[in-house]
Amino acid sequence: MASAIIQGIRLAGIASAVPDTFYQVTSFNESFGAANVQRISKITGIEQRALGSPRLCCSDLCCAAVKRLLEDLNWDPETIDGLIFVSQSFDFPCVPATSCIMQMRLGLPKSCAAFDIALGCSGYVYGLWVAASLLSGGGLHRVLVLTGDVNRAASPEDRSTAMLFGDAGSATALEKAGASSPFAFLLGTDGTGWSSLIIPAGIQSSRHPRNEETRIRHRAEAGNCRSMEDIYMDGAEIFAFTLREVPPLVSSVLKSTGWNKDEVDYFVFHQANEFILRHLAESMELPLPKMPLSLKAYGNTSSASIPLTISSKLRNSISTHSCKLLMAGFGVGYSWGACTMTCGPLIAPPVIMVNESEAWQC
Amino acid sequence: MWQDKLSGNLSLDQLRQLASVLLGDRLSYEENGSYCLSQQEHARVEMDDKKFLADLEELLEADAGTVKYTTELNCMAKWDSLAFVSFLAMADSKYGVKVAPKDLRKCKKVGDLIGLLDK
Repeated sequence: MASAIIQGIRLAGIASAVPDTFYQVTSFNESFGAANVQRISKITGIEQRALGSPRLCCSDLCCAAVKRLLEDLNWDPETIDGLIFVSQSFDFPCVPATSCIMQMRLGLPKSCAAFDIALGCSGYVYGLWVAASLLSGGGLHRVLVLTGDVNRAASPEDRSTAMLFGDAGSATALEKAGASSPFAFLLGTDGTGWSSLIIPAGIQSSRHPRNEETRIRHRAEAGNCRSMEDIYMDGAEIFAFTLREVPPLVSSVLKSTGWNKDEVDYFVFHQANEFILRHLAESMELPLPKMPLSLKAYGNTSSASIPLTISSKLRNSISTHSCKLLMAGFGVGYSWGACTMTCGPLIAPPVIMVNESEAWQC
Repeated sequence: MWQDKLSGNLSLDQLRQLASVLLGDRLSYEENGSYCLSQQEHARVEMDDKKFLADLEELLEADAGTVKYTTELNCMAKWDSLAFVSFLAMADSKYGVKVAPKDLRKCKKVGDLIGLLDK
């Protein structure tokens, strides 16, 4: 079973970055009708999203977050020996790994191990798990976990995705520590849901490579329009999957930690949409004030949504207090993971705004 | 086979007793020897159905009394992908049933939805 209790690790800091250009969902009033937009926005809880120009990559957002974080932590880049980039928005079509380029851009030493992990909604928990494992037994001392995505694949004519995803990147610093409270992890996968959230074709696809046909948008269900290279989401299947897997995931990770749910200070969940999160809270009887939401201002930000929620909503408490956190990521794959930890006070700068002029000039 | 065994070993009265233990007040015994829903159970089912229609009207933001068993789902303007997900949520939170989206897609009329909640 993919579960672990890992000791001797400290989470030192979290920083998140978004493009400095925000778009209101009401900008879709003309194409979808104001009443529809309002109804969707009420369900998703999303009012605006930060969306960068196509020049601004996820790695640019993550690099901005790392620079600020290392500065605030007063960590010398030379002391970093691990960099993990968890994303599905790479600088190039997988070759070379974006993490290798970031090692150079961030001035990390050549003695640093760097690699990419291609996961979405569950990615932050997976990144922390890999980092904690490598710190405890993989010979590393200081690791940066970088997560996030930029939204490039949503068709503007598809109501189910057009107003959902926002751009964000995050950086989390972890290091070896002597006496510290354990991190508990629990992870899982159900590949039968592979087609419920998918970009069916494209330049990076071996299964269905780009051709003349894949770019053409066709009319789909309920008047939505998208091409094979646009993202497709079956909201009902994703919702049913979440309801099926997340409550047992949360209770199992609590059990393995030996915590009662009332002991947890904050349940920081992947920001899928507000309707799902409220429903989960209700069915698991979790108090809403303990479940921070960052959807209203940033939308669904994929693997950056957990750190972005911490940076934007929990900064004051976590930078001054020790907090018991339960984090859970779930979605595309299907893939999921949860972890518990006692962390803080830690370095948590406010959300960093990144201008498109900061895009890497290669 | 179990019926043979039962009727072989139990008298009709014993069967009635067994039925009343298993089903409580849900069934009543009729003069002609058949069982049907007792008055209490009939009232309960009717109330459940009314409650269901009211829940559905609330979900669809429809006026009270406008949603009927025979209403075709496709004829309701508000029965769209958002209502679809809201129905899954309602089934879970109010009825404790995890409905599979593929089963929900098969439903044609409002009455079909109730079948999903009985599972």
